[in-house]
Amino acid sequence: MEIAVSEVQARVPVTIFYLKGAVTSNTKIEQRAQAAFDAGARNILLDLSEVPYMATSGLRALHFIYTLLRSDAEEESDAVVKSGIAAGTYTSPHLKLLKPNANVTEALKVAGYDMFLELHSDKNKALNSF
Amino acid sequence: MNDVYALSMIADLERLEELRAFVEANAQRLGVHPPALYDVLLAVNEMATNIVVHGYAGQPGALEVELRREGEALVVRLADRAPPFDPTRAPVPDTTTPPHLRPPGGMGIHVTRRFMDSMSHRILAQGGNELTLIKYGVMASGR
Repeated sequence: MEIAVSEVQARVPVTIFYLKGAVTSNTKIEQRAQAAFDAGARNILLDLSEVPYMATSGLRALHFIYTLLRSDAEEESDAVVKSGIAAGTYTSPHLKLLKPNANVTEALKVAGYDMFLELHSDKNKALNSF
Repeated sequence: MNDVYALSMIADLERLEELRAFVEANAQRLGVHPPALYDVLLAVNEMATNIVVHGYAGQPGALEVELRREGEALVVRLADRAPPFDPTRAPVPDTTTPPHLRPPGGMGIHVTRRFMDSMSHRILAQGGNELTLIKYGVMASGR
């Protein structure tokens, strides 16, 4: 799997990770996300349009990035997130996914990851949702 | 056409790509149609990963994988010599808990259960585990 990274200035700065190839390990994604975070990235859009297959190690990487980017803001407190997930009104303001294919989407849903991550099909709308 | 394809390998994360290629090629030879192939591939990969990481704890160990057609169903058998572990008894993760309050892993068995129609386990007489996964109605006539 290859990862390319770019920075975009939307309403807020967004770092785009372009993943290409099957995701069968979490290590490389987590390392790149940590490096981006250390360099100041606080909003990440993961472009999955060229990911044909994602094992659950990919879910582990999403979990890592979600936790990495989560802030101490009141709207991201344990209580607010918990009630928001239950009500279907909470999604991460810092991590979003672009164009996962049908199979990857199904795995995300089975694991409940669609309950806290937005899945977008349009790049501009995704960028402007941050 | 063969009805059974078998692979014996050393359980190793570095060799899972070879395993996925084996499953993909031979499931297709058995007649599994593409929409179901992804589910089977993911399930076998997850269970093999668990055998490597948890069963053998990263140490070398034997892994046998067999694909078999039974009517319109695909039957996958995985056998190892690792300490007994029955994934059918693993708890279902609570996906409504905020993600930062739950452990990062543990989704492999859950996803496998949902992507396959049947999962059964038995301890082998000579030691080790046999896990059987079945997906029904996946041959050319329908999923």
